[in-house]
Amino acid sequence: MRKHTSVIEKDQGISAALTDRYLFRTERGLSREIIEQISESKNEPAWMREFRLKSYEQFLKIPLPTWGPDLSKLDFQAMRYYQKTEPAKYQSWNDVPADIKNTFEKIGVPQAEREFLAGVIGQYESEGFYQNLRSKWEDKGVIFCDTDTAVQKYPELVKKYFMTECVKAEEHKLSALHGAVWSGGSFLYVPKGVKVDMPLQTYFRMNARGSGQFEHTLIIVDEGASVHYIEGCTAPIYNTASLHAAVVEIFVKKGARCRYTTIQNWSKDVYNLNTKRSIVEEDGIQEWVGGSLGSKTTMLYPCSILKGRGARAEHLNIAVAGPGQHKDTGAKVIHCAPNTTSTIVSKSISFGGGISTYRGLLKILKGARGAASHVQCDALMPDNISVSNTVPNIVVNESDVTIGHEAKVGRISADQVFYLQSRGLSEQEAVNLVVQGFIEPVIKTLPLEYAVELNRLIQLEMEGSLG
Amino acid sequence: MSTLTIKNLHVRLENPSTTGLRAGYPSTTQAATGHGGAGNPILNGINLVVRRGQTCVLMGPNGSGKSTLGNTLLANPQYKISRGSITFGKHMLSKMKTDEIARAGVLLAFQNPQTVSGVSVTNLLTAAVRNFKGKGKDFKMADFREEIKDTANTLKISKDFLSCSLNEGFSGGEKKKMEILQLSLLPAQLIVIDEIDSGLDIDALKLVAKQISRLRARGVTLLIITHYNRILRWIKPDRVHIMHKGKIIKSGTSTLATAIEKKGYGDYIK
Repeated sequence: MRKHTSVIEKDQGISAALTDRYLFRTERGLSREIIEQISESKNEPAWMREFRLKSYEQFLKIPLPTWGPDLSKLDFQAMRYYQKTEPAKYQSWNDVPADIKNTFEKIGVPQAEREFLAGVIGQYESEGFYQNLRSKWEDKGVIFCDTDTAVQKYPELVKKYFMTECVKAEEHKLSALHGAVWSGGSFLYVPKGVKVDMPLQTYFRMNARGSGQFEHTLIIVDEGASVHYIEGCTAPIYNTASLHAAVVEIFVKKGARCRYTTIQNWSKDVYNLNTKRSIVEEDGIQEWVGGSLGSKTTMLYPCSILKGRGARAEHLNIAVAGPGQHKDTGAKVIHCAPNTTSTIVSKSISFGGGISTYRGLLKILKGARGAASHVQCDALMPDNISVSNTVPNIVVNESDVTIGHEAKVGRISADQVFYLQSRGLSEQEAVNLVVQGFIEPVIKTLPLEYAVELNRLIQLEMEGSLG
Repeated sequence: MSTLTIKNLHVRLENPSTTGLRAGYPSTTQAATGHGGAGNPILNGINLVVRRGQTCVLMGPNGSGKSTLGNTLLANPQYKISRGSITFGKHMLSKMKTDEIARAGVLLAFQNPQTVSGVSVTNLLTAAVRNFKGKGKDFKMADFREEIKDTANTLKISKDFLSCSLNEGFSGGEKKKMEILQLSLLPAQLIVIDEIDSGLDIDALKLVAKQISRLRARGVTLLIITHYNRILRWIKPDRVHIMHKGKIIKSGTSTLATAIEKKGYGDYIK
């Protein structure tokens, strides 16, 4: 089998040595001055600096959400918001400094790029340091670069789409914070009719202690085009809270298709609070596939706005909550037009006292005749001390619709474990097999490399959870 | 070489809340038999020897403790051995965990096999086979997959059943065939077959009985638990034992089974 990219922390030694690496970084905390420093360091045009400052004003005004997990321990003034490590964006791994290259070699990124990816962006701390797109796709007009580069090179596209229509800064405290301090992320544009048949991947690595990562990913899939974009995220383990507050905005034009896959394995002290949304036009298809591991607290509800007639959304998510973790995840779909369809499959595993909550919104607007949606929430709990909640919110303002909602809580029963052990599997192997079966519907939609990876990650995560 | 020896075995039902304590798994079903509350003895001094290659039948009315014995042989944590021992050759089964017992070659065909969503019989077998000794260097997974298909063919199990969720929505007969399929493919030395004949139609029963005969011909030791003797039309046992109230009350040859078929258990369980 091919070697796959990995979001498993393999070498603490190397990562720790890299913590203090920086070329420029802001002081801890947040102020107008710090935001101006970030903008200046990036040599940004005035409109972006203004946007940042306006977002910061919003951030100060908006309170933290009062629903969902407890965020009261999140200390915004203790964070470092920007840390740049590299003077340039490299286009060849040969140019990447050995220590960073090593980290990415260990997780298999360069090899995966050679073998099955159409393009790769690597981000280290706040900034993308590596980007490369196969010339085949570049020749067809595909743009794949980090979002800072896009601000410089494609200002018209960025101005038009960046936090204007899809996710707005003033929506909530974290989106406002993101608007003020965002850095890095991927910018992907696929021109009309171009079908990119290899995945594009971005790999985010947050290494510094007590820092924040705020990448902004902006994907525009033009009419009739299609693309599969993959993100992998990790951070090593420290005992100071770090914050990841990303925004992903996707525009799926008429007849286009976008699959967004992410496997996130944050260390257990990270607050992972993201806003991801897609606007899908006529006959467009948006697919969200997510595996959420690690982190202390995750709040993530990818949203599809089905704007055009016949638009479709598919949401597949796996969330794993172990000891001390709170996963508050789900999906939102807004059906705005006739004959729009959506499917939501959410799988959660809680163990060792972990809490997982499915929080969903399914909204069907008046006039969305013939809309159809099916929601399936499955929770698996191998013990009696963990928690699984389901908070589905369904709002329907149209009568000609078809809606299904299923929620199941599964146990790994003693009988099941005995049965599998009687075939020669150890207790851990038996539990792993049940878990593997549970997540199978999501796993089978992943490329082989990631399927293997996610299975392995979940097994590692749950290892030692028995006894 | 390997003889199963059960000596003065006493078993009681473990308090359900303490079963699977290590992981705290909840139990979804009550222990195999509904009688005898927690703590009550359900096997009261079983003595039984099954010699290598022998086929023994364990008969008895409902609730006599037959299935308990089968489950205890495989160390089902819902049952607690309070006295006595079980050995299989050099292995002290009564001190081993379920998976260790299985890897020693002792396997159980379940009366009520479990459903495992998202896991096919092929997934299970390929995961399990790695754990058995003697599947070392020469072992090729591709060959094993072929073997699964061939055996399924013999048992007239359709291909779809090899890749869909194990036992999910299967009929009683399909589940039983799946059990025999699994036990035929793992390196078994002793197979305990618990009520394989219930829920099978006559054609399926014939197929299953034929497969059991093949295992017997391979030299596998068999302990067949049943309360009818339907299956005994095709399999002639070496020994027949009758259980009642957690004890073996009568042992004999296959003529004992015939006698029971004619007269019922009445004469023995007074």
